[in-house]
Amino acid sequence: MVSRLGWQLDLTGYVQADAIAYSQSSADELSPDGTPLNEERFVIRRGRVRLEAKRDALSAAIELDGNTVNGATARLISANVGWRYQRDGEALPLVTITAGLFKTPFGAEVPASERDKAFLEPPAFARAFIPGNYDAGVMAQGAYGIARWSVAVVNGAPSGDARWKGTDPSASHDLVGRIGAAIEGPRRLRVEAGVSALAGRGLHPGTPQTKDELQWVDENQDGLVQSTELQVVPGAAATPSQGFARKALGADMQVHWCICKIGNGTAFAEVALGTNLDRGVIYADPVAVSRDYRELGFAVGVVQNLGAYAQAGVRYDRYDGDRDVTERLGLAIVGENKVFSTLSVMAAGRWHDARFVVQYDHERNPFGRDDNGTPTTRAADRLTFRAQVGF
Amino acid sequence: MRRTQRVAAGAVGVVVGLGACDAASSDPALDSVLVIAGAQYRPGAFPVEDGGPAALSLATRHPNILIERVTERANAYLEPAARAAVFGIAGYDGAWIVPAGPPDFSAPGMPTANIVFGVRAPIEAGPFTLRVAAADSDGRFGAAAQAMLVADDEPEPAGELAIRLVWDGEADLDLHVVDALGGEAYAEKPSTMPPPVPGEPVDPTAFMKYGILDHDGNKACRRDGRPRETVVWTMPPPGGEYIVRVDARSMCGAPGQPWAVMAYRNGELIGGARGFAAPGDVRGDAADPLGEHGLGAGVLALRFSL
Repeated sequence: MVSRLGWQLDLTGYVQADAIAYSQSSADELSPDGTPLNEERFVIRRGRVRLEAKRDALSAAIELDGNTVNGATARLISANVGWRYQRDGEALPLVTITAGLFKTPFGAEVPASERDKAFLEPPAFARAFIPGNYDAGVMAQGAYGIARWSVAVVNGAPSGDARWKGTDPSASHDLVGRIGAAIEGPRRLRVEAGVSALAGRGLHPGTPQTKDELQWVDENQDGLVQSTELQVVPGAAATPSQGFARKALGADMQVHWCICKIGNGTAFAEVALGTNLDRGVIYADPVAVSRDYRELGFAVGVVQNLGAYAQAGVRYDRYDGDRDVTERLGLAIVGENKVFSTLSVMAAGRWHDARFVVQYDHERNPFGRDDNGTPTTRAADRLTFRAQVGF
Repeated sequence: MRRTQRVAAGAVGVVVGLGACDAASSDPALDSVLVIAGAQYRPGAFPVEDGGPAALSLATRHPNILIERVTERANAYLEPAARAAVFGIAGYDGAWIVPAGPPDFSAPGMPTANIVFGVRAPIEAGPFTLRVAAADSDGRFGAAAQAMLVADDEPEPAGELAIRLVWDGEADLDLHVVDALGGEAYAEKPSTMPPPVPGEPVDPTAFMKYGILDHDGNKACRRDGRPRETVVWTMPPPGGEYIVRVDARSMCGAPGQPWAVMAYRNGELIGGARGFAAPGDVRGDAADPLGEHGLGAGVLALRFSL
């Protein structure tokens, strides 16, 4: 930390270097678009540098991220300015106003720092609802006694949005917030709980007009065009873009304890219900399917410190990205579960600001087909080692 | 020490147990002789009958199919309890799972299974048997239906004269052929026929006397399975000198692209050339057909006379 012209500047950062030692879905092949399908590799998952400046009630922060997940990339991950009002003797500000690019205040998983998370990556429902975690807007948050609150108006296009890539396609904004409490109990017991809500609008992209086209299908495979092999593909008029409503409701709870001879521990649970909100896993476009997408996801787990230098944890998360989907199989119309679930077992060693994590993920997904035609798990277990050093 | 060993053994057991759970194969099956677009690969032997619904019939559009082309359509009718169908080739391990489709007009009440398929090496030219078995909601299979087919190697290009450009990669190459009358065929003008004179009547069969380009391979960097372009004369071509050029329109990210040009007269090879396209060979704007990639574009590959 340095001081200059009355400002306090603080430079922090961390690097997460991953080695994916085993992945059942890995193959030394390319996808049809040329993307390598190999997943067993060394990768820089996150390399982040954060510069914070504070002067009295004012603050500013810039955070840059570099990674090699999809090739070497450097990008702006967070940038915001803030003002806070903090009463004397209070540990937390009563009000903090933040404007810029910040973490969306929904639930407990999304706003948490990737630097401090025990497990390697967020559960599926968090990656679906708020992909990338960050969005641009204005946020007010604060604490009063045991109460914790935050409310934000954001673009509604988080940085990891699979379709819009962080670009806001509509003029409307999303309103998102969380209200909760943090209660201190006896023997270092602490309970944090809250409920979150999100309401906003998404956009179904329209299509440009098309011209009539002539399509040739070489039915007799002789390489020559015959009139019977020609088909007319009629042109279509342009279709307009349409907006649609999306919303979510979530609840989260964490219980922290301290077992003197072993160390601190945390049990957590979080659940979220959404409508047309998935922007990362099964992209929700209700206009395209003429019905709403209803989503449900949850995660439960426990993490226990084992002395000063070790940590272990287990997490189970489950996400149903489309609770109403059906499929016709022969004469029958059957319900289909587009469910993703992962059982993660984690062990970590710690020394100051360094961590070494081993995590095995047993994943279930709907990408495969069983012998009876129904979606089933496609093998996707993986074993990952992560070395993390912060400063 | 003994306690540590027990913990380690338990951890290994948990990991092995998790990984051993039933799951669909993530194998892309690129070595399978049968290829079905959009289906789930099922490794192992073809399923045996165990009381499930029968596959009633299996038919393809053609009795002969070309090796390495995934264009043939097959249609199967299944008993009413069928929920899925599994396709395979007799004598080869590995099959493909396809969800059963709704009945069609010709057989109401019977689920269907429609696929677009192809075969590839190591299958050899000759007869083979395509099989299909249906499965019910419990995954039980019934009696299989089968169809006898013949796999054929891809023939040499037919026609009085055929000039073919072949390459194996993602680059967008264009074949340019100038015939003995001076007409040039290429992607934007796929015939050596000169443009009609305004005001004069046009012979509707005149185009058959000229060389015609079959298609634009890897057009706009959309990868063909086996990119190739052929200019074919179905009627005797005019005598004189022919010039063949290869134009690198876009490398589409490829660092280099070998190519080969062959000329056939009534199916017999009469000439050929090999070359290599590098990023420096790409001239001008790939999206501008009237610019660097129009008439006269490309490097000389072959020159011959008839």
